[in-house]
Amino acid sequence: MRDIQRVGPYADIVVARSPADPEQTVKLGLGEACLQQNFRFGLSTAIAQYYGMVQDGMNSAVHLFQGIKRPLMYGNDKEVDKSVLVYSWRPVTDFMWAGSRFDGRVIRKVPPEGRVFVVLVMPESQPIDFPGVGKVMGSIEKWNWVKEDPFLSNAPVDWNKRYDKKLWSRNL
Amino acid sequence: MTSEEQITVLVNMAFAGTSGSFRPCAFFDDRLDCIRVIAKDCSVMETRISEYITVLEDNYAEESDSTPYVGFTIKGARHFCAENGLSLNAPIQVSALLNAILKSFPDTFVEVFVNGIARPLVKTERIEQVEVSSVSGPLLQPA
Repeated sequence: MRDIQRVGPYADIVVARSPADPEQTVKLGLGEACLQQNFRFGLSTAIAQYYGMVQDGMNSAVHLFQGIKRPLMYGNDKEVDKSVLVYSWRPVTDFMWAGSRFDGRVIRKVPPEGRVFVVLVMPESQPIDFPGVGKVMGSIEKWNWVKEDPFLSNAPVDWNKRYDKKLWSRNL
Repeated sequence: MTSEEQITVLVNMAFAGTSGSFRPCAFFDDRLDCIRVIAKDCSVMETRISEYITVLEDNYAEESDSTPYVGFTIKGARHFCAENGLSLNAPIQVSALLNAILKSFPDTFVEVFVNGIARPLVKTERIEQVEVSSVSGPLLQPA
């Protein structure tokens, strides 16, 4: 884990498995608005989870889904929902903030059984190539836990109702 | 230094220069087109009530013997608000939002969610308005 490193419009850059091929990797950016939202409302646990589970954890993803089955409009684009990527896996640890912002600290937790962690990514329609970084293919917008599917381990419950399609799964 | 200590340092560095303290809140998430209501800063599990409504549950509520429900999300907020005459150009009253949910989705699960979870939560935490700053792009006009 490391301090966030801003690159262009992104608050940080992480490596994740490629939507096209899970054996390849791509660069993703942390959405600046997402980070600022967490700062604005003092959501320290989300920031702790970013450092502890997202920043170096995206390569642990077991499944990648595309398209969320719920309305999502951004600007004039009414079909953003179809492009959203959702990485899912079951981390062995969770992190949360305990105490106040000023005298609190991060604590490690064992996640409850039957939960998976998901990270939502908005793919860039025109990825920008940054010197020393390369093309950033999408922006990370959110992460949280979801109940695990009883029939597909490491996947969110009802994944086939939540998402348009599964792009890939990895055998562990 | 343990990973928890390292992350504590990083979180403190990240928050440097910001007000930082958590406050129960309701806000419009422009990028994901949803309204989030958050009563507690904790690790949450999101559970879908419907295509439009998700409840946030504290992953470790049992340890503190507190209510598991710590928030909710209304998805497709631009369209939902336009359909219900709520403008995202100004703060929205949470009570008006919840009334609109009941009107739009006349369903037992939704009624239980609104009256059994959402209303008590926003009342206890005194979450009265949905903040709508930093909205990008054109908004749908209320019907």
